[in-house]
Amino acid sequence: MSVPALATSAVTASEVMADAADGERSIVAFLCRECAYSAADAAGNARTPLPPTIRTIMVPCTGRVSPLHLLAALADGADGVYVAGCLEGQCHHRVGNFHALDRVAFVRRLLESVGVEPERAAMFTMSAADTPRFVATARGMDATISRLPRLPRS
Amino acid sequence: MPLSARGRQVAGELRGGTSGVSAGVLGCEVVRHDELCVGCGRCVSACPTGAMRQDDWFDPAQLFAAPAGTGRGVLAAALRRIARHEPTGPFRVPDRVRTFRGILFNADLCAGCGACVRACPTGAVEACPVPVGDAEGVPRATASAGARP
Amino acid sequence: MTRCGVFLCECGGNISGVLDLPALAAGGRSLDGVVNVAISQFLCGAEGRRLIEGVVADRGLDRIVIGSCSRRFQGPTFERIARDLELGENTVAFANLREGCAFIHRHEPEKAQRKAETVLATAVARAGRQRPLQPSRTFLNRSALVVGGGIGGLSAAEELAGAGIAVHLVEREQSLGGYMARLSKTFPTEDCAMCSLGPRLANAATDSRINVHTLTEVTSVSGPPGEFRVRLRHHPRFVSDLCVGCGSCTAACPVELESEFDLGVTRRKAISRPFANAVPSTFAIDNRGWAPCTSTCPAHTAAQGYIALAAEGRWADAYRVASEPNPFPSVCGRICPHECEEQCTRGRLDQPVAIAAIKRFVADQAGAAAPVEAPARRHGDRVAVVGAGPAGLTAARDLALLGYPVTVFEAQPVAGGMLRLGVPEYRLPREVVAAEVERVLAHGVELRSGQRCGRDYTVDSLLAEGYRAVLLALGLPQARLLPIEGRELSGVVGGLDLLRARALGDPVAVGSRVVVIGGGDVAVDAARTALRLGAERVTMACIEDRATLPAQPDELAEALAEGAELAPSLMPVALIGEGAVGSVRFQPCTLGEPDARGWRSPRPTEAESVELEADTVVFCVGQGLDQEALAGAAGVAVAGGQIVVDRETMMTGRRGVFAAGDAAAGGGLIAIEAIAAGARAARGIHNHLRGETLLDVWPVERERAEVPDLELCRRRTRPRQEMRVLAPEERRTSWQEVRLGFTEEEALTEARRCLSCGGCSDCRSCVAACPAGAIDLAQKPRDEELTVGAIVIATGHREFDARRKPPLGYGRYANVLTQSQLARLLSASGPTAGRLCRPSDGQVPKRVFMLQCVGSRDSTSRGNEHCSAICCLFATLHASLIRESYPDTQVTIAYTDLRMPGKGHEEYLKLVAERGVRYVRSRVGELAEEQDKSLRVRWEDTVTGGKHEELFDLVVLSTGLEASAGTTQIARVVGLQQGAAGFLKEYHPKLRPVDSQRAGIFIAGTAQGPKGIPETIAQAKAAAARVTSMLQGGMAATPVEVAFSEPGVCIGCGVCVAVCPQGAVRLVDGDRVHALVDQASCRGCGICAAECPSGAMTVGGFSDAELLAEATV
Repeated sequence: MSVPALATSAVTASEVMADAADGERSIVAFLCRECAYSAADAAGNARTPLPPTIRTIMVPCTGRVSPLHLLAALADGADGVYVAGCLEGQCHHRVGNFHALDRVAFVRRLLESVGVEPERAAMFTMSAADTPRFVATARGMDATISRLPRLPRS
Repeated sequence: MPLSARGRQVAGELRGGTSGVSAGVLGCEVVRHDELCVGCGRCVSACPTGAMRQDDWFDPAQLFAAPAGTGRGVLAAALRRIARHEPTGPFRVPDRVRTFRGILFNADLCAGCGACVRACPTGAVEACPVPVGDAEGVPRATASAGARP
Repeated sequence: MTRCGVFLCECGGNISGVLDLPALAAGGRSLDGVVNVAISQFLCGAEGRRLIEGVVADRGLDRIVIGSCSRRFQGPTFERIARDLELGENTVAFANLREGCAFIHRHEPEKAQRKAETVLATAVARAGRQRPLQPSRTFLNRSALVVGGGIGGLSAAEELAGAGIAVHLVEREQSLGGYMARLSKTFPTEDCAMCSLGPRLANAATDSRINVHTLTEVTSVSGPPGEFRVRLRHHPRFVSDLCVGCGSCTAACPVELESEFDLGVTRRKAISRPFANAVPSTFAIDNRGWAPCTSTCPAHTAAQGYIALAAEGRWADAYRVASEPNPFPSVCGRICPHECEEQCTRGRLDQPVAIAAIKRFVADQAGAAAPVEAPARRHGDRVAVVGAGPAGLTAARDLALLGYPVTVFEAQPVAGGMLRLGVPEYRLPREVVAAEVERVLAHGVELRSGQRCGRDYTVDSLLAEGYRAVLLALGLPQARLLPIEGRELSGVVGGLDLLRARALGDPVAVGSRVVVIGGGDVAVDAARTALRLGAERVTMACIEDRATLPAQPDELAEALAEGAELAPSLMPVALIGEGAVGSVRFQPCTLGEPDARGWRSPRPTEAESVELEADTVVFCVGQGLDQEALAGAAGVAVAGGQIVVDRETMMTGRRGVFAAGDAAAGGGLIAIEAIAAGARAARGIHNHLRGETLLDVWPVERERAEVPDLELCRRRTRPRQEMRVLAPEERRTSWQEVRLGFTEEEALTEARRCLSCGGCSDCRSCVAACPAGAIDLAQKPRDEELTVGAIVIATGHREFDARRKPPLGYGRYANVLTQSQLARLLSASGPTAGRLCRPSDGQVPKRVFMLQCVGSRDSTSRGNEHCSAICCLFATLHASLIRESYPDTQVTIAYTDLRMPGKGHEEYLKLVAERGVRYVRSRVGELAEEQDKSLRVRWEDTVTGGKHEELFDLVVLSTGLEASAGTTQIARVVGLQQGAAGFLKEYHPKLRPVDSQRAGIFIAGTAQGPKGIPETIAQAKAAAARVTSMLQGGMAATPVEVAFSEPGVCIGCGVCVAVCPQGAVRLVDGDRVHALVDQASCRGCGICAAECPSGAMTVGGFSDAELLAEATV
């Protein structure tokens, strides 16, 4: 099994990123289709201003997110990564969010063990109707990551 | 170590007897290659004596020792890119994380039956025959006839 | 390399107003794999569709990237376009430029632009990683299984049948109807419940598309949705389709059990029909297995049966049952060691039922008058029985009943074997034996006495003479003497010889000082006989100690009361005397460990030897075979002192020669064992003579019915009737029967102590009573396999068991009932025909107290947290009905809160309150029972704070709802989650309330949670609708966003199997063991893919490659 090769063309996405002024953070968010992405869309429809550092990716259930996804995102340019899913006990796929919570906790401990701030990885749960919570957690993560230096990578 | 009385008993009780097991596995020493381990836990389920146990702790150093191209190896590569220093000590793993747990091996409980070796899908558990004379109490062939072993 | 087309949507200015789309397009053009970028004003509209179609065709695109609103919004539109353009599934990638970019970064357009560039670039990268996916198709079987035959199940079945879907309706009780059948009226309309239910029941019975299975349970469900393989177990009702529903069987049945249908308010017979409109309308026998007495008896005598009939004074019927397996009920009622009584369930409560004594009374009372006639000869094969003891005579009778001519040869001048010649007459009068022997002979059995086998004839000669089978029932008549010094002295006699001589009337005498050696029943018989023969002092000496000696304890006690002495733990060493014996020397001993045969040998101790004076020594240390009888019986082998027989056929080593009773190996040395063996031999001989196995030699063992302690402790204790006996002083000098037997009154009283453990008592009164011959006691459970497309579970609820709240006295106080029990009393078709009577005295109560929230809204460990939704209405309904019919009766309802949601319910409450029902918001402390069985209730009014104490005639508890036992069982079989109180977990409480956690399985009614009838019917019909829409296509495409494991990559570790919440993954064999996903059951959550250590497992459209392409830049 190998990590997929990055797009290799005249202009790569990383170069696009590099154009950004130093100090600009990037956060990747994995949102479950049923609750978190739905809340995010609702926040969008309400024209709620959100930090542009956050890029959202849809997954069918937060249970799909593995430590590899989180670490690869950090390794490849993100300063922070988070997972957002259904409230505990209300996962549309029954227990996916419980798995995700444990995996995020695992990644945090892994980060800590190699000297990386564990708060760069987080998980939030919310109901699809809870737009304010999506907004609050997004802004909160942005604030947290902004306080940290950009993540150096080798 | 040589097969104990208990070990012989266990090996005899294995389903299908020991006919499927190569003679070399009986009386074997079990060696773990943690870097190949993927944490599936089949050795734990297969072990009849409880010598193999799944741990609540995970040592990140195992991750870094994993060969490139394996699942853990890819993860390690990503982690290495952002690591600030070598990984520090093992930490406790949350309950639902299945495949990132240490496997503990207690040689004192091992019966040498080889079930774990057969169960392991990645070859992280290996059985090494014990060289004659290394274990205590095994008679050593001596050059002079009549000499006490 | 993929050919990717990027399409950016202006969204009418929503996106283009914030983002510079042309610049975005320019950047997009230079991305890897992009061959075309286009902008549209409304990409989702007709114009946008035409644009995409055109570009796909012109530029030969195989991937589409859409930069537009959220994929959750218009995603399906573009996926449909891709499908229509035959690009395949999973060929469209999305960049959320609206809700995810333009809308939320309106005030930072440059940052929005940069983010849009990144989002687009990652979407293109993702498109490059997407693989088109092929949906697979599953066949959908157009049938459904509905589990539960209450109003929910019936409603679902009706709806499904109407949609043309074949229904299998499975119900574990005897009839459809469930809880609703038990109600009197329903709220708020006060309609009669059975009037509403009746048509549903009739419909289920008559609709040809609904297959009704009652007394049936689901034992396994496997396979994917659309093709569930279901296994059903049909429990026997023991009544065939010939039943006409007349009820004669019920009238004849002597066993009364608690009525489950009437919720314990009354009793019903073991053969019964729960209610008049039952579907199906036939009866069924509640057979719980063998009662412990029947199970323990070596002949499996239906003891519960004759006791049940005895309890009704039906002596002739009782005799029929008692004598069916055993022609010697009078004998056994007197001498049997009655192991059945040791096992009697009543013994766990107070004392065992006096089974043997009742049997004796029954046989003594009705045996003589019972008709007997020689049965018709059906076969010509003559059978010879050697030995007219219990084994031989039982076999003779049974063979005669099977239609064979039987001749019994007996060496002694009288028949009866040990019964006549071994057991002394003060235990078993001669007339009793003679009468029962006569009855056997009256079956047309020929007796030739005074003919000794091996001397007057042999086995060989019998066979040569033309007997087709010979049964050796020789018994063990030889008394064994110990091979010790002095045994040849005079005054030394074998116990059996002494008893036989006495029984035959031969002259027999004993000295004044008798020592009996042995500790068994023969020794006791010999000792008591010796006393009656005039001995001054009789001592029984045995190697066993007091606790372990084998004689029956009551026999030994009688012997000691008559003056015999016991000298235990002594082994005889020598008989001392000159010519005649004068004393016996004993060595004190202990018993060693049992050997392979279970025998324990004596071990001498260090103590001094003991010498007992004796002028008569009687040896009762064992019995032996008369070896001479086996002369001329070639092929008949003896081992360990008994004849060797094949256990399954009862045949010896010689073809056509059988053995049974004491003489044959196996079985204990008591009369009932010999009788059982004789019966088995008869069956074995019948099979042999007919050349095929027509009868089971050994009766098929039935499960032993156990009464749980919880049931038992609710019964009142009553002492056992004592048997009157002759006074010991009288006994010592007479041969009169010591035990005087029961009177009729005593027998009746004692028989009524029986607990009817086995349910049906096997008395067969119903068989005799049924005019249609519909009783079929041979019915066995039957398994059936079905394939159905979908399953609806409507297994209902049960009431909270109010015994978990001891202060309320339910189960202890007679006048405390539950609302459901009250419903039975108020029901016009119920046990009291609708008359409200209180249990203790049958009077109409004047003051009724109803207590709400029993077991509900209860956060203690004794109750459930939930509100049971219907209890306030239930109580209000019953209060209304009572006030209507009994205007003088006051009703008080003590409530926590009054919850009346639903249409018309609040209005109903007002109406009923106006009818004079007193509602008190309160907390109830305790109920105490008064002398007259009324109840003193203490409560605190939570509105005023005042404390009250009042007397009530009847208290009704509104017990809450919990999931039924059937619900828990089906959840385990199918693999469904249960929540608190056992209710089944729906897939999503708001969005998918009738879907279970498993695809293709739906839930409805109170199995899912507490609710009333209208809500149950609504859910049931909703579940039916779900089934209909699921099955309607005949074939279904499985969604592509499901898990899939690459066989070559999978290492077979099995982690995915363990973590899948649907159980949709299993390991299969192949080149290598690998995981296989049942795509029809998979819900696409991806937990397995995230755990997979080898990367073999992926989710369609959400592979690691696709996700990482989006996540990394």
